[in-house]
Amino acid sequence: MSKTYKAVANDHISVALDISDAIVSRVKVDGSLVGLHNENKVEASLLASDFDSRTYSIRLRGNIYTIKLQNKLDQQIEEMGLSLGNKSTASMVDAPMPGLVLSVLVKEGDAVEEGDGLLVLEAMKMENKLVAPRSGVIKSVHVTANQTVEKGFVLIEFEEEDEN
Amino acid sequence: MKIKKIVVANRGEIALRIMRTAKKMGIQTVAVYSEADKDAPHVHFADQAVCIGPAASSESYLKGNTIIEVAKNLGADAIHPGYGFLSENADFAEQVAKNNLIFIGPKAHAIEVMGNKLASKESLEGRDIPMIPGTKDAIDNPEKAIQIANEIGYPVLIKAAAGGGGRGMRVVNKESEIKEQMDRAINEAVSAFGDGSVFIEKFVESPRHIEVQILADTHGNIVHLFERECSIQRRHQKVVEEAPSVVVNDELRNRMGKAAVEVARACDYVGAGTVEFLLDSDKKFYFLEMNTRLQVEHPITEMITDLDLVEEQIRIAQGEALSFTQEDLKINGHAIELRVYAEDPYDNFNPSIGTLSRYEIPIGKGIRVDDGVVEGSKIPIYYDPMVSKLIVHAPSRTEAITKMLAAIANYKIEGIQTTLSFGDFVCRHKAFVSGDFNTHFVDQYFDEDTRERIQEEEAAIAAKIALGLHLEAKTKLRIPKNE
Repeated sequence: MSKTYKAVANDHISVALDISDAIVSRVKVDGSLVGLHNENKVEASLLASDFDSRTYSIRLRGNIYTIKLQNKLDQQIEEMGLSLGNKSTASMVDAPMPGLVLSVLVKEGDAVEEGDGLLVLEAMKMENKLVAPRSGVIKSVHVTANQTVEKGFVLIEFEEEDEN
Repeated sequence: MKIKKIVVANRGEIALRIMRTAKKMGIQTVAVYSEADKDAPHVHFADQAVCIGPAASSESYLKGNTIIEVAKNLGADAIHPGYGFLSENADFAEQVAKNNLIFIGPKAHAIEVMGNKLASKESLEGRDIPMIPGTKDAIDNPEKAIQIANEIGYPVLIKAAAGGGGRGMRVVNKESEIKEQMDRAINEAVSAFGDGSVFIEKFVESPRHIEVQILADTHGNIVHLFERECSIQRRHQKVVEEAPSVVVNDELRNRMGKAAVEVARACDYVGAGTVEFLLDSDKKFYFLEMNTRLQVEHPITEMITDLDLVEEQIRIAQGEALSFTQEDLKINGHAIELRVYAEDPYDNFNPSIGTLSRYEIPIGKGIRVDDGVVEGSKIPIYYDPMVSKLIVHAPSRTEAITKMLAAIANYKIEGIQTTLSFGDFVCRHKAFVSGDFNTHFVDQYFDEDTRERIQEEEAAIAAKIALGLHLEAKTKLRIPKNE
């Protein structure tokens, strides 16, 4: 049985829903709400809501879920495979956390195997070795030792993979 | 001698926590702070506050001489180091004493002996304290270290001789990994402590981490304040602690307590200290190390003993004798602490740095929050990423777990990810609830598949709530037809 609604949580977890799945709850002034899920009490908090864009940000058990309820048009577009924003990230290695680059182990033009060390990033007193997500050739290195980087900063780019 | 003014050589929650007790005792407080902390709560709470340098701790909170100068200039008589920073720096303790100030903690000798894992083992030789098989001497030669690791048999643990708090520790499971891990451990030890020597020991599999709080006065009295169970760790650092431990019965408690007191006696310990043990699956315990300072997780001991450990530290530093004996101490109920770190448990506990756009603590009987932040605070990258400690106390363990879950639900932090969600996971997990867990809890139960499953489950519940809210809004708002 196919579900009527679709929701996407935090841009990557998709959930299929029926109207009957809706949890009825009452939101207090401070955003806290209580509802029933499979006969169990659920406590959560509504952090933000936007009716027009059907977006609701809910904190549950210490995690925050930004839920976007999709309307039919959105769903149709997605089913036809026309969704945008599907760029490949496999050719880039970005910083998983803010930190200080201790050393860079590769240079432009180096061929690396999956799992080879690329650079060492220090954050919160820990040394973390970032490794190659796949085999390939290093196209460019955007950092040098002793450089501070923010989370998400693109550190190293790979040459596009050959078609074969 | 009665202490009248204390310089608190620390920041964050522990600085505030120390100042609160000082204030309660009628003692003046002086905060020191770095440029990154100029608006921090501990600065505003103190009676006086002095900026001691730029953000980097090596330029501020680790500047012992500057802090001693502050104490002298402001007429303070004592320095409380808190935990971390200068708390286990023997030179600092000695300099404080040389400047006719009171160091609220043990004597430099005890810090020095216990701060070095090899020296601490040596000092305990011939006493009735169980030890783990391993190297006796510090090693900085990778080849020799590898040879010894091969002799002991895998898995082995490499530890920086000057390390602590989980820093500079690496587990090596097989011979093929030893070379790289050893180089990295030595490099890390050199950069973190300026001392590349490491020691190697048998890695006890499936151990529980149990530690015993002790108090020793200057009159030769030493008591233990029972154990804390600290097995729930990530990256060898504690996240959830509880007291008492479910697996420690009175007989074992008594033996571990006696061993802890013996360790304290061996180094002429004074003040509050913690003796850490590993407890294996056969309930055999081994001495791990002694922490010569107040521990992060001391509040759970306070909750079950009705003592204020900072007050006890100050009284001991003033030369007072303990006002109770071992026989006077009883365990009252059960306490659990969750360290709320600015980390994303669902992204491998990576740091989550940002501004606390919303910050509201849970309030209720038996709920305690030790924090050093307010709404709008930034979590700086320069220091430990701990935001606060959430502590609950209840008559039984079951009630304490329930209380912790409710407290987590009512702890409103936005702007960063925190370990609150991990605390929720732990308190719902059957291994934790049953008490059958060890230090591998995170690796065993909080693996990627589980994390994904939990996020999917929670996302589904959140989506159902969102749908309910949306449908309700639609009815109320009478939007003609939008979909």
